[in-house]
Amino acid sequence: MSIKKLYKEALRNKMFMVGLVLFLLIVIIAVFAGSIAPHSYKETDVTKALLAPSSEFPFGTDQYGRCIFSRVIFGSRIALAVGLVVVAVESVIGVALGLIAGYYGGKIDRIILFITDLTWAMPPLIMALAIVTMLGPSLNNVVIAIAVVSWAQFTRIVRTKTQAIKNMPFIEAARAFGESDFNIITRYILPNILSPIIVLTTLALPSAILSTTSLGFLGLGAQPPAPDWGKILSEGIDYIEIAPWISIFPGISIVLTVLGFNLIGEGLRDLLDPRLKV
Amino acid sequence: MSDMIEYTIKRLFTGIFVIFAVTALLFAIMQLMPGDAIQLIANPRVSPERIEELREAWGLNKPAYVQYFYWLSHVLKGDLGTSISTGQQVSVLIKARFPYTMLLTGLSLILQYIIAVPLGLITASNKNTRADGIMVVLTIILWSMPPFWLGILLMLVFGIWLKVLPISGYSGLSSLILPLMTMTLPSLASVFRLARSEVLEVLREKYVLTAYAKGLNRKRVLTFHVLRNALIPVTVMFFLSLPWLIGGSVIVESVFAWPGMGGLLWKAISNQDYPVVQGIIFIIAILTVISNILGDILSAFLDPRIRLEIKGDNL
Amino acid sequence: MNLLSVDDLAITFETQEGSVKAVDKVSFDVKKGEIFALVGESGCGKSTTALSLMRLIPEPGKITSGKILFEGKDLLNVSENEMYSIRGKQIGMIFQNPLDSLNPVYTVGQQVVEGLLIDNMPKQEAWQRAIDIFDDVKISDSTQRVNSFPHELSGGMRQRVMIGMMLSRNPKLLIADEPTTALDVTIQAQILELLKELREKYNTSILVITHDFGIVAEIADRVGVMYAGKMVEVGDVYKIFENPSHPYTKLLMKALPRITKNQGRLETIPGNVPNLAKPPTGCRFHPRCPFAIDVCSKSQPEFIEIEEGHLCACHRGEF
Repeated sequence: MSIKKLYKEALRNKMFMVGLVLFLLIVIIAVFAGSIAPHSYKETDVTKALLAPSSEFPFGTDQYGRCIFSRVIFGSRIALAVGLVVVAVESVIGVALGLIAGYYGGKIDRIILFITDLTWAMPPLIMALAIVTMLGPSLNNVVIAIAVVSWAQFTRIVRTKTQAIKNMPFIEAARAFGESDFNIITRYILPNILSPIIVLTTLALPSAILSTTSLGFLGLGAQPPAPDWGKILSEGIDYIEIAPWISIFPGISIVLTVLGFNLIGEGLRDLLDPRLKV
Repeated sequence: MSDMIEYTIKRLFTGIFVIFAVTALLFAIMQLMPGDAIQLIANPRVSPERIEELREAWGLNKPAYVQYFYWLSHVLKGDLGTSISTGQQVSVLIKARFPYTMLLTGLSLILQYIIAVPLGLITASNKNTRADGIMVVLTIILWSMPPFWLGILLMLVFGIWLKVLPISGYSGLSSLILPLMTMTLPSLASVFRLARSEVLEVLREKYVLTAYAKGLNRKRVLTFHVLRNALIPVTVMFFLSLPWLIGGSVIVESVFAWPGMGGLLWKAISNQDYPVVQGIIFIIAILTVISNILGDILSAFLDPRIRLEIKGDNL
Repeated sequence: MNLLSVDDLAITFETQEGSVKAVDKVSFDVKKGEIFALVGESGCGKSTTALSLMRLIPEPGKITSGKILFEGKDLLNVSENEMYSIRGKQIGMIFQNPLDSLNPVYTVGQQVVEGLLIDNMPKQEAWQRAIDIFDDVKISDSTQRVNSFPHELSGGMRQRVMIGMMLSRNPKLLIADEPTTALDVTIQAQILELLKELREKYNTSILVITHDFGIVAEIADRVGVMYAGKMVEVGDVYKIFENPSHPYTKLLMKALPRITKNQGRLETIPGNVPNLAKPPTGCRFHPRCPFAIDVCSKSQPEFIEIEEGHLCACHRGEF
């Protein structure tokens, strides 16, 4: 499909456009967090604890008197950064293994497939929990844990797609011309399976952000006073009856961010690879 | 039929292998952890000699693979070890919690499917109507909701503002409603999406046209031909999603202080209580493998093409 | 006497690129007991025409005008509920690929019986009837075969099942959409032979849709040639073979796809099937027609009677 036609269809795809707007909004917020946030995200002032939303504190304050609005604004940086890094790591691992398994087949394929199935066999959240606990709670370890438990879906799909095209005439021709395996994989196969990879990547982002905030909610993500959305939310549970805003607003931010990526992913799938099953 | 029995036995063997592999993997990861449980629970004033003694007692000074086989041999006797933080038998702890988790996840699973599958069939067979569009958007929104936040919202609305439902712990069936909703809604969305896309796929099949050409009415075609075929992947998903739901129960149970395995696991992880963590993950691994096998067998039962493959498969 | 009479049928598909007139004012008749063949390249609208007779055109296709008179009743005016009693009972239909057209999860017997049960036949009788019909379509070992799943049977066998299934309720018309295209040449001949035999036995009219003049020659009594959504020539099969009048018909006959083995697309005719979203002006065939003159691109040709029972729509029909 030509770029121009794709562009035209993208403009017509409502889901994709709404997602794109949400995504741009989040990016702008994350980049300009310093100028948007009215207060510091970590400065405490007990005299202003648990205040309801007002013009000074649009989302209210928490038990330490910190501005929830500012914390949510700064928290977008954590969510976005972790999401992007996680997806970068898991897609590189997953795509590389998928290409290798699909291209070479045989024993290598069977070994990779077994590891994939094994990773697939356990509930990812439980595995991630176990891994972060072992490594110690920190953002870096959250990235590692989520990447370790979620690369497998890339491998599965990339493997099947690679198998499907590796015997096509143009690949055979490249082989006949003496191209190295590495060149064939990176220059001939990869560009031809880019659509599903792009769709998978955009759909992996929202789930990575959800997992990150879940681990944050359980206290395993960025450590206080860092404004991790999941953590802010879980701290709010203790005050849910008197200060529900602490939990409500970070939750809305998570939903909007994840929704934005989901809509982009769904839209891209419709545009690029409508029959791809994720 | 004998093919099916043979297949089942084969699947059981690979399943057992997977259980070993998963537990060994987990064991290996645990060994990577800096420090151990004894250091964690021991008071700084406890003498190093005493700590060594404790390690000896727990078998923690042995090499990892020895510890693994030690653990495994006990597991085979039904002994999952003793909790380091409470001193109770792990099997006893799990036994007390297991029914609560199964009640929650089991009910949730059933609820998801009896709602989502008919809904998927109806919306897919009325594609491009307004109701279908609304459902699709609604599911993406539900999908985008972190379950813990959904739980908090439900808690706020039904527990605190309307005061109609209890928000934490277990005090009878009414306590079940909010955790059940929290667990069911997001998964309901994915089951719905799967059911809908499968039905759409089947609707494109030629045999649906044949069924109409035969003179069958729409209701018969949809239930007998379309639903029956769409159910094959949906059934597999039903079984595959059980372990995922149990995974999600960690969050739901901690939000609502539900007395199940997920909450126990969470507490054990925070206390670095190895035997309990291992025990629970072992149970979950077994559940996962069993549900995978059930899913495979059932799909072979539902799909004669898979049965044929099994017959031809001489692995 | 006409069993089926299609009159000025027009079918439009609303697509993103605009509305596509897949079938444009097509008329033809199928007489009682005869085999009528609709022939043309893929994409000419012949399959859409066939599906419209059952009112089974896929989305976003719509019948925009015309009449489909079946025993004098206009099928475009009956309710969907009434269509249920016409499909299968009055008109049966078989499709190109017999694997796709059978449901993989039921035995072939179940699928035949399912149709019979609509007529409230007792179950046991229906199964006996299914076995009998399997004998009729020459499936050996019919008592065993009824319990087979579609993928356990060969392509030819599956097509026999389809034919049996669609004839089991004695419909007056059987529509066969490319019934042999997916099959080996030897099996093709057997299936065509079977169709001819069953026509006698069940006293059924058959409408065959095909791209292959070889098949037309083998079984049809009369033939209609379609090009780009239009009927260009209709007539007795002997008359058309002896005296093909439309340039397209002539080229089609020369192309003889059975020899070139080109499935559907006949590359020996220069040019491509036109895009029906923007059909050529005048005669739709003129851009590819070796005999085209000025008037061909300006006005649409009307049917002229070449001889009795032989119509042709061409400005240069006298050729």
